[in-house]
Amino acid sequence: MIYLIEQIYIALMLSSNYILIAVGFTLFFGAINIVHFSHGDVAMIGSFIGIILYTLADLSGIHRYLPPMIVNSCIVVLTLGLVGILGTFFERTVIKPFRFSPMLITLVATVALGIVIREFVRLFYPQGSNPQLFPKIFPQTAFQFGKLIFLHEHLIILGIGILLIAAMFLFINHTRIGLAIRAISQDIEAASLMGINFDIVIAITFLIGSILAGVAGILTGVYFNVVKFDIGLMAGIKGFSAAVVGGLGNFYGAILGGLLLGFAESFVSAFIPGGSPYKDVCAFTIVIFFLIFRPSGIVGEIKYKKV
Amino acid sequence: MKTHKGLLFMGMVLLSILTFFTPANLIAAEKPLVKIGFIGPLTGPNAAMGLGSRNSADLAIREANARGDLPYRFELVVLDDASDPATGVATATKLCSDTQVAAATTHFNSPVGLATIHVFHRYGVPQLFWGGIHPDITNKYNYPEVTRINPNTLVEHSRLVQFVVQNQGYKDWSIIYDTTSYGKSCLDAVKPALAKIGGRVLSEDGITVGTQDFRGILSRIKAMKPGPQAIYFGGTGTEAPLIKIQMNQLGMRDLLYAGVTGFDSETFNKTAGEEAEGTMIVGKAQIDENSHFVKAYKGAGYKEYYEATGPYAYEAVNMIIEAIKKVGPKDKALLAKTIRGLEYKGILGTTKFDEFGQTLSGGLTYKVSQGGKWVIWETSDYSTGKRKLPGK
Amino acid sequence: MNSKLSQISLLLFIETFAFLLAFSFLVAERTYSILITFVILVLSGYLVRRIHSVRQMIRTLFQQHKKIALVWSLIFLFILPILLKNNPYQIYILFYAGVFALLALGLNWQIGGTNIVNFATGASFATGAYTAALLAKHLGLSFWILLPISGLSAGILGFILGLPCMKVERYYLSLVTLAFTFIVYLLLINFDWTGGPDGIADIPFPKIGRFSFGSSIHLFGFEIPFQANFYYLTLFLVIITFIVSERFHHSKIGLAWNAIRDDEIAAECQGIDVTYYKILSFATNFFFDGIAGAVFAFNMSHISPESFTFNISVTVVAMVIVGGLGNTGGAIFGVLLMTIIPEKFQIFQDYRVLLFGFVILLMLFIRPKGLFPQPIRKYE
Repeated sequence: MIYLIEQIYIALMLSSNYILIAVGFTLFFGAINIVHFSHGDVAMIGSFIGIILYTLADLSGIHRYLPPMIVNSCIVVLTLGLVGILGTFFERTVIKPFRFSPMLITLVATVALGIVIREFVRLFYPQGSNPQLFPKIFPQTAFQFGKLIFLHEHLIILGIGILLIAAMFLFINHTRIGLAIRAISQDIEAASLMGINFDIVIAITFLIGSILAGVAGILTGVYFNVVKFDIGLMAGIKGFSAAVVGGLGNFYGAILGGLLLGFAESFVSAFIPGGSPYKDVCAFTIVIFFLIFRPSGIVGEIKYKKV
Repeated sequence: MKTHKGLLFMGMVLLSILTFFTPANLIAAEKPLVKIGFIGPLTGPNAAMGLGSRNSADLAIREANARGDLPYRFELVVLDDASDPATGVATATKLCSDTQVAAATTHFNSPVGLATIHVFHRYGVPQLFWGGIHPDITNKYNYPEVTRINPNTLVEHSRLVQFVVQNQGYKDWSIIYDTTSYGKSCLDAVKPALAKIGGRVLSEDGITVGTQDFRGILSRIKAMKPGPQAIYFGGTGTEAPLIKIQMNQLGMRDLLYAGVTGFDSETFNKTAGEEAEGTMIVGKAQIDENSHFVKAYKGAGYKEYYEATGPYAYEAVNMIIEAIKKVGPKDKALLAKTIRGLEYKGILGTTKFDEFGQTLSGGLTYKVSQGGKWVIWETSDYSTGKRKLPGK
Repeated sequence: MNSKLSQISLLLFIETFAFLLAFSFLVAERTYSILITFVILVLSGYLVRRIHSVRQMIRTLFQQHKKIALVWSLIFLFILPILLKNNPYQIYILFYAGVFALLALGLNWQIGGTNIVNFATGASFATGAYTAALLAKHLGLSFWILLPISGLSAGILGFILGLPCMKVERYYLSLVTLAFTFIVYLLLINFDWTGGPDGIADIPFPKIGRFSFGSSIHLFGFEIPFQANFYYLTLFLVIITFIVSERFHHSKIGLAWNAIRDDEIAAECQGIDVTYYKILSFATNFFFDGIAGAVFAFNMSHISPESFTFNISVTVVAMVIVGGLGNTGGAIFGVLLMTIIPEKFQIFQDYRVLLFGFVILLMLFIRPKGLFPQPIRKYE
């Protein structure tokens, strides 16, 4: 019983990582119909920025003046902000120029961007080829019920992630800019005819998506304790898969897809003897299965090709 | 216009042909040049190891040139195998086609080595391995050109089980391994070693490199009744500390965590911090902080840390130079034979090769993680009883 | 400029010059000669493009005397190993480029033709290589039988992969091929019968009669290193694949592919069986990749899953995009560019991969259709 609860907890944490990235994918695809292959690497940058800021704070001795909780909260907020800006920067420089080119070009461009980001971190961050320890920015206490241990830091970052996703939902559904985003995802030309400056709206979409990726980055750092320059590739592919399985363009889909993938992976490695090396295979097989038999995903609308 | 274009063309033709015929040595050198090759992963996931070893090899060359008592001038030819066998074969071919290259020290990844030994053998160029532990590299073909300075997995694991099972009494094990060539070799070595000495394997789990979440597997191990007394991981510095951290987070502090030289790097302790406390390994040669190598390395100002494999690359280059000093660089077959016959005293202790070119010592030690550092068992608090290993 | 003889001699002169230039770049060793030859290459290429009269002249020359130009270049390609008899490394690089050329030619039509970005090259390449290796090891079949068999097995895999994917939209199809590459790679690592992470070793060299590809050849009194055997083999295969690709392009199939690329629905309305042609593109692409895999396996003597990762897929896609989509010659040019230049620029060692990414981005910005975009069809 304890074992089961533990496994569910593990699966949940893994799923939330995927969900945070999947939501970004779904946002971008819904809004401007592109697949941002290097979105996972943006998350990775989030982790690294967190490490850098924490180290800076440490060096500057700011701990003498402010209690750790304030310092660390500032670090989190700053990290998210910086990642958001960086993500939008990438959009402006690499994605926007290809807005009206075939999708193929954008796809390859984002793949190349991913390569550049990874190599940049590897080459220019000190000891970049090595795994980096993520600092302990949250309290290290835990809830303990017998043999079950729930670390507070996991719960905190999970909470932040849930809060931000909920905030994003509210934003998209109850504000004017959110309305603009929804309008663009339906029909970009009509939206611009209605006076929506889709350029700015797209930038805002990327800002939101990148901030969520930043949370995923911090989550990775807190939950796995270690980050490396190449974790973004796999994370991005799995996040994208989760979004597709759930239904690209549909936010509930991203959540469902993330849960499905996270749980499938965890359970394969936990309950199937000798299954752990195959857990990635399992995840990808699920993706292929969905793509072939239900490409609109679990909750996506079935789109008919208009002639 | 036409004449101009014609002249332009002629000029370019001449210029390019000229560069083709550039003489090789513009500077008249006093001492004959001898090139020593270095191949390792300078890019890719194992770049840290490759770069550290490259720097160490470079250090050895610099010191040799500075000595002044050698009749040759040495130059290190550095090539990147990117942990990819095809690239490795290309670099090996390049080195071997250069007649000025006397010998080479190579590779961190065994699959790359397994592909290139055929190239070096074909050209008869001596090849010393500073990394790559697969037994087949030396034992399968027994090419006279191939020698290996680092120990192979069979030796490492027999020593590990000797200590952990026999000496310390951890009989029941759970094994986790990564699905690379290295991890598989570890698995293939640790199982028979355990069986031979009376240990038991309760579970076996493979993980892909790049996995960060081991909680699923660990949770299952935790729930096993009866549970193991030790968890062994066959893999290297990226995943190894994560497993220990997650073990602790799941409350499995009474289980011993053990491994072999794959753990032996600063990365392990840096990453796991105080969570690493009490990890047992068979480690590589302990290089004293005050030793000449460490001081010289730091003084040379390399960007990267020398990692666990650095000293082996350093030793390899020195051994090559020693052999060249004895018989000269021209006769490669003789050079290979000389290298094999060397009994070299260096930073790894005494290095000697067996009939397959595999080193007999490799400076293996027992180490335990204490206070965030690898400490030789004999000098640690654990051996005196001041600290206790998990579960004791 | 009038007499045929002067035209032909000018043509031969230009070809020889270009060839010598490329050759000097290939064999340049010292940093400054590498940089100089590279700069001259780029400069001449740029000048030829820009100066319209020169470009026109070269174009007309080549068109009027196609056969002679081809024969001359073939002669060069043939004697190349003789010129490189002291540089086995360079011959090996050319062979390696040749293997990638086979991969790129296959992919060229799938992307340029039907606009399906296929990231499964790693998987098809692996299939060909492992088929050849396993059958050679367990059944002792000769290389020449295994060559078409590997192609076929990969082709069948392509067919199987293509079947269920017909209803899948383009974007998602790329994801499917991506996932497929990963799955194949992971399975290769974990299955014991494929040798696991250690792969398969001891693949013998191909033989013709009693002549093994591992021995050096004697041609016109010169001793040429054994890599040349593989070079000639790949040269031969590339030429055949080139001809086949061109035939495809100019046939009904090529037209159908292009129609699907331009507008799938319109193509269907025209009566083109979209499903059939899409599956055909998968199968042919995989077939070429399979053959490349067999050649690769027999050269390396030892293959492991590490050579068949997602990176290969990305690299080949990049080559095709940089060289030119839907243009056979362009694809080969892209291959040469992205194989030889990284090799020569080993001096930038640590920054190679970063530069690689940058170059792709650069190409997409300035010439998204590739250096040599698909030429407009001539309907005569």
